[in-house]
Amino acid sequence: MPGKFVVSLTNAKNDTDKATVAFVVANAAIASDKKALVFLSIEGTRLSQKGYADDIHEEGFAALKDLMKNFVEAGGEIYVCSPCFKKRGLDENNLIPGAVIVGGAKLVEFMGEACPSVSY
Amino acid sequence: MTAPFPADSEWNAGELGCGELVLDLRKRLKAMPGGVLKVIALDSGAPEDLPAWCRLTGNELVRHEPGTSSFWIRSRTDWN
Repeated sequence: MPGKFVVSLTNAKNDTDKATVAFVVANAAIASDKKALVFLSIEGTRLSQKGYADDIHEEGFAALKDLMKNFVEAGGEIYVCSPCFKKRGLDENNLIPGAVIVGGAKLVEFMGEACPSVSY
Repeated sequence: MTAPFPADSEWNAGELGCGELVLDLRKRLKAMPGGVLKVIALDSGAPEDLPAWCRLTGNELVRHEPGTSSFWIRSRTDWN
């Protein structure tokens, strides 16, 4: 069953529970044959940096870095909000595999006319 | 005594649930097109989630045995 699915994530170490569950749901989408995208904005953009997620491991879940790695390896895409990224002074040369810095138009293009999404 | 329902392979997923469960399940089924995998999934969401996942992905839920938290799923043959 083809289709798209967006998970919008605005949190990182300020709410590791939300950050973790967002990627668990994203993995459910990619495993269910959806073209799945995680959109990182606001604080969520920090997760685009190599090493940042290494010490996030919520009880009862896999480590966040593994959830993210599994998502990308299964074909999931990660878009990183450009202005949020810049505002935080993050490093374009330190992006995790699969992460792409984008502006809003790229997200709008991906979502098209009808695209389910869930926000964390 | 009835004979156990047949499967080509068996996987005890333990407490894995939600995206972690189905992503791992997908990898396992993809490696055995046409085969039947017996999955033991203890997560309380699995009885709803695994039938839905099978409908979404075109894999066949052959049997569900709630008492043993067991699911028999036939892997589709047209994986990309």
